[in-house]
Amino acid sequence: MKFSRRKFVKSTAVALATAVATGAAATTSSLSGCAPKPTSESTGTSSSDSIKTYSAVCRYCGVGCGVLVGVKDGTVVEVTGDPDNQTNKGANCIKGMNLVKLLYGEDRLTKPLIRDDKTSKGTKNGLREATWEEALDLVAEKLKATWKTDKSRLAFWGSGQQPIIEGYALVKFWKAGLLSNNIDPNARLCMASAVVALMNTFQTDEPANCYADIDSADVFVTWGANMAEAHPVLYSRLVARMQDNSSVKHYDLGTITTKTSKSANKVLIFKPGTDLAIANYIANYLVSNNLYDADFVKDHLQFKAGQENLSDALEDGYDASDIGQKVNDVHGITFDEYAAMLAPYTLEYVAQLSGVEASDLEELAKLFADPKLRILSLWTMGVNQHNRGTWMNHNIYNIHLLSGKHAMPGCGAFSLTGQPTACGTAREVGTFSHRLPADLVVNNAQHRRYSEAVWDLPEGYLDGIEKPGPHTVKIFRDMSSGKYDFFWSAYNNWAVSMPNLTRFLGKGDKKGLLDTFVVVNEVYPTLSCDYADVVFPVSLWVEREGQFGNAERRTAIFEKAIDPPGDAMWDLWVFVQIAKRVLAGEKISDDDAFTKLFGLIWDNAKDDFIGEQREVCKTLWEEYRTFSNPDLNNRANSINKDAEEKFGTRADDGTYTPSKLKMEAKQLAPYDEYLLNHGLSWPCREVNGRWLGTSWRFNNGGSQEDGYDQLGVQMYGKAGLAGNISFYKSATSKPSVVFRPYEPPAFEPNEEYPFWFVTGRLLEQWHTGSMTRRIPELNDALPEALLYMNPNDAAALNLSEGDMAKVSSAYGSVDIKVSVTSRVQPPAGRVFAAFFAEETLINLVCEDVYCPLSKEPDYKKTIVKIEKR
Amino acid sequence: MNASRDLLEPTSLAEESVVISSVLVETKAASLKDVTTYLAQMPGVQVHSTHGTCLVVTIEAPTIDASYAIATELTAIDGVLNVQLVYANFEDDPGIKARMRADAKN
Repeated sequence: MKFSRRKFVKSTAVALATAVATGAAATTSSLSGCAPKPTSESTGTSSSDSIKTYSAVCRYCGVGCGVLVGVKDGTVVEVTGDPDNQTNKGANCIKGMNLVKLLYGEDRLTKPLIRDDKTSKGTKNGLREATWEEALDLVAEKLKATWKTDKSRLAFWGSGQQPIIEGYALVKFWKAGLLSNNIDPNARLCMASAVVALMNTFQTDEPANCYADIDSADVFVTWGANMAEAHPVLYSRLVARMQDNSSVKHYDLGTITTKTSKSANKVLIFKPGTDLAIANYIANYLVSNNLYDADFVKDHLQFKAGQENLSDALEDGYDASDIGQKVNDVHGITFDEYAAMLAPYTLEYVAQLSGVEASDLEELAKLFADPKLRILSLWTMGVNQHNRGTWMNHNIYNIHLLSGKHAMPGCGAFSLTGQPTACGTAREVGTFSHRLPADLVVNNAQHRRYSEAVWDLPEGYLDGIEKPGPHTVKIFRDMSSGKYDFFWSAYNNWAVSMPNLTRFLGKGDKKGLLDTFVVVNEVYPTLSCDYADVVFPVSLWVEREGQFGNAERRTAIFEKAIDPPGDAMWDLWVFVQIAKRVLAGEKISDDDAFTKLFGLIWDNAKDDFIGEQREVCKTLWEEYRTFSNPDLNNRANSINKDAEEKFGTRADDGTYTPSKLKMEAKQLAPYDEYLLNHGLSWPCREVNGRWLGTSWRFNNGGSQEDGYDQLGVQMYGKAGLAGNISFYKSATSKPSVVFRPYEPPAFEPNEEYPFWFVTGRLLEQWHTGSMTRRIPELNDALPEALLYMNPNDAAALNLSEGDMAKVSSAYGSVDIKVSVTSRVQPPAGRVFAAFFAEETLINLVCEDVYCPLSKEPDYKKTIVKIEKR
Repeated sequence: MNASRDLLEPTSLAEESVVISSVLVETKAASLKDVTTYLAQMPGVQVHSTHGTCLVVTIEAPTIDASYAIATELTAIDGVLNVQLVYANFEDDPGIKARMRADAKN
């Protein structure tokens, strides 16, 4: 680099960092080397030194940080934290340094691949290069044949990494085109428990709070969350808040000590599963001592109890069993009845049960009792991947609602996500087997009518998908049992991430997987590709335009900055190509089915998209956002209001109570607004010609301009209630506090299997390592899966650092290297290993148990034995 | 704000291939001075200013790999709470240069 160039680059680096450090980040867009805000017309803005800069969102974790990508001569040469994206305000974690290397791994897939000989499945051999025509024709033929013969034998498995528009088009193809609910995302493995609890509690998905709450909280409570590794930028904000104010406290609750524990004033290590009891103790403390927020309870809450003694979802027939059919049952109770149910959760009982010091539990409870403190609970997979994951989500909401600490600046119960668009696509678009876009579900007639209106389908057309389809675990269990003929996955690596891999990769049931025609959209060869009959090479990250939605309801667009390598194509193009072939000759009423569904973006005469990627995304977005903007479609608007009185209830006196969908509660803005604003958090409202986001849902404590939900409350809520809150999305405007008891894990350590085994993720390796293992710096930092053990446990088994051990459960076994370093510090009797290394494949050991309500697997409580090799 | 060195003072790596990054190093209050001193003696690392307990730091190294290694090393320094990346320019990284040549041909 020439000296003058070096000076320029370095001065840019210093100026940008100084601006972020001083909080002047919003002005940095005018600095040299940094892009001005892009507009819908200006894809790629030029800085003064010939580098074109594009607005994007980081591809790694679930935080959803904004980045600016600089491109020179067709190559990404620069990454800058996006100062205009309010998620991170210009700061990224150091993994951002390696974002470029995601794109340029040596083994990128650049040609479609076909396997001719099924006996080579499960090996690195047997795939040959093919043309797109051959591969597309083959996949379409197999899909159509299965669809026409028995559509229960086909499935699509998507992801929380699937950009919003791509997920939306896929849902439209699968649900309206194929009339199939056999579609589910890998978000079932990480967020489903959070979703079910949010729906049960508030009748709407996704958190009410925002990341900025980290900057003003008085107390942080992390529940089963290793934010330092899984959400590093958010964790840095937590640490910064504690540095700014020495009175700010952090309580870390978990079953093992992690990097996140380092900042905690108190680390409460509990016996696995007893977090349910700990939360109930806190609720009992508040209620029995009359220290709950009485006004908040009176204005906002209703109380319920649900089906108990659920046993465990171990067997394939659980969902259809008597108890499996009752797991969602709830009934109303009084506050006094709720108090009586909590009464057994005394300090003494819970301290004994959980193993946590009574004084620590009481200290935590007293914080919730202090009306002045802003408490922010943050949680991730320790809560969600739990045999009672939905219940534990409920129990956290219960204590925040009882104490009147929710949906307020610096104060609330905030469930974080593990993938960049688990919220935006899996949850908001609704790529689940039971969902339609925007919180709508298939088994609700009004919801189907609304979707038909948006998609311009005949009334009743979607009644063919009234019954929800199979959830992820059921799909894989059934596939291993030979009940599928066609399976297509994209943006995931199921052969590494599913629990109990032994069932379909290791034992006799493997035949089911081998017999299924498997299609994989991928960017790199993964273990899942080893089982594929066809692999489609696709664009990665900024090789096409896409959209992510993160945990603070923020939607952001990443612009196409470079071309994909070789013959790799946009996933959306692949979906449309398959839809075109499979729907050929099919009709919706008298219309050609493909044209009816995709004619808005596809020119049949030209056999190509209508317009460039920006135009295609914008066109689909405008249709998608009709789901949350009913006034854009008269038919939808009428159903939203129940104007024809079809869906509500009529009293004996003839009074009609309409069933209002309140679709505006998730209102999305026009596409261009996301480019102009570098992301917006929904609900988005147009105020005096400007589109504004919402930081605190349901909170009427200030103006829309300041981030409050002023217009949402005006539209459907009520002013003047406790805390200036109005939970308007609930039918009764009253969230449900549902009593959920402690029920033990499916298995507890015994003589044969004396250890608890926990799996999860660590900073360097993400998304099963399918991308991060291509980056030498990340892979070198964590090149292999390690079994983190308590030093005393290791010594008792004569195991030292670097020794090989055999870990076995009732499900399977693997050999793995032992570590007794301090990165993860399990207490005695517990061990941890991250899942990413296909050569170790730790999930061969992982138990096969899921939350009965959410169907999300428990990855945290497998009982194992450990032997020295 | 304390500028510890001339903002644009060239380092010993001048005129060589260099990947330039800027990071924010968040320290414990009591460790600020020690961390600043430690950083000052790290090759390729320069502290430009201090804002509360946050240091504005540049990293200059021949490759992305070497830059990341230094950034990782920063996270392990006693008293450092967090390191955040603000900007990275890797047009001089040999792998990226090769990619640019290949893309230019295409």
